[in-house]
Amino acid sequence: MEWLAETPWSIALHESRYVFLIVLTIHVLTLTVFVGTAVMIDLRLLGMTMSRVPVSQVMSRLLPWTGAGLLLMIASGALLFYAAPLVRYHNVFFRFKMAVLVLAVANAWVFHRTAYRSVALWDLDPVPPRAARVAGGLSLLSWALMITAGRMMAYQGYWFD
Amino acid sequence: MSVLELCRWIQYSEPLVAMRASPWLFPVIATIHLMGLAVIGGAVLLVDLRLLGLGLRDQPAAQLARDAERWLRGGLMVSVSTGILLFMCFATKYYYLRFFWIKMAALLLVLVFTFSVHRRVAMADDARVTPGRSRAVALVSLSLWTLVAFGGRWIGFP
Amino acid sequence: MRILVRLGVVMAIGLLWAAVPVGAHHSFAAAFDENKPVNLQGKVTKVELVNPHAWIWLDVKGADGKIVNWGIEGGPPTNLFRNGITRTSLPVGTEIKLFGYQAKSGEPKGVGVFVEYLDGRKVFMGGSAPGADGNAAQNR
Repeated sequence: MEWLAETPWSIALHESRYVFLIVLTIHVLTLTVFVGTAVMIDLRLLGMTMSRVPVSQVMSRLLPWTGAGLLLMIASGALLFYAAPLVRYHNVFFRFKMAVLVLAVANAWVFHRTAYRSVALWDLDPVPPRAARVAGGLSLLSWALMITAGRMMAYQGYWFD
Repeated sequence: MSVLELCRWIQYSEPLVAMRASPWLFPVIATIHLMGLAVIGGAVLLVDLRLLGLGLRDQPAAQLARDAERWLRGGLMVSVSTGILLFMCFATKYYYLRFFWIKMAALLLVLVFTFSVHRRVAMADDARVTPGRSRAVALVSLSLWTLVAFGGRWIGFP
Repeated sequence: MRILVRLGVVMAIGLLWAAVPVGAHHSFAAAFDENKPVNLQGKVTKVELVNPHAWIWLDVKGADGKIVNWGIEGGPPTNLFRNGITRTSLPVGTEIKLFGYQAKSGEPKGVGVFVEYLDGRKVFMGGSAPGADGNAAQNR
């Protein structure tokens, strides 16, 4: 990672006048799309909104936007990491955020492979079965934790002695 | 009393001094502000994507608008209340920052627009609104919200 | 596939656990205390014009004669460039004065309001400190 930190593009990004700030802007603003649509999907899984819309329709029509948002978040996030790899790596909030991201993705993946398999049975239910509600709830929690950790990254004294 | 003096009076009042004395209170309030923003984003997109013929396009717009409205209101309550606290904490600083005022102007405009024209078009019967008008309303809404978001992100820049 | 998920979860927990001892070393340096203004004077040891916050480090001789290295945070490079600092205007070894506010933690760190060269020129550091954007009316 020291090697990564010393590449010319990493340094250029870290010291840039505008580029870093543009990437950071994209990262923070895209969360309205990524987390925004994910929250709407999770709320449907919890039976708390759009109860008349079939779950499968909510998934198929909104998830692509969540996916596009996620791609942008990862791309911009990777660049932000690359701008100062050592600093990010040693930031406790960054590590926590990445850990939660892994758990959030795992939660979504497991849900899609298990409970969601039977969606045809409960597609039209205003309140989905427990497994779906748990997945939705965990998902919401992970976005809240990630937003918190992301924001707190700025507040860690990040210089090494 | 000038606006600046009012800002200074608020900022250095006891409750705000106490708020600044804590190392974690401001960051926590800023975090909650951001969470409200995410919910607002979801609620706005749900309706505006539909008005653009995207997203949940097989659903009647009016029903989506009704579903989304309570989350929009909830998100706004959270973001506006935390926003007011954040502002009061460093009022004299924000007073001098142009992007803060741009954000406030855009926010006022989008709130007025959302709860008047936008609402009327979104809640109207699908048969009675032309796609052109729906799209126009969605685009105005999205543009204004984008301006609010950029303004907020760029507050710290001259 | 299930194994991958389990592996991922284990890694995540591992990362969380690893983060704990790191956390013990670092505090909220960016949380400054508005009741602890500091007037520093010393020789620049390092200038980091980096995003999202620039840092200026200087060796300051304390009242007891001991030299302490202070780290002062400013705004992003774009703000500092606007205010007149360039990549070459603060060479290591330059003697400068610096006004800012100390970190709540009491560490020799803080947020800077302005750098003052010995010839009297002031450059505002454009960060989160009250007045760092050059508008003095922000202080009591």
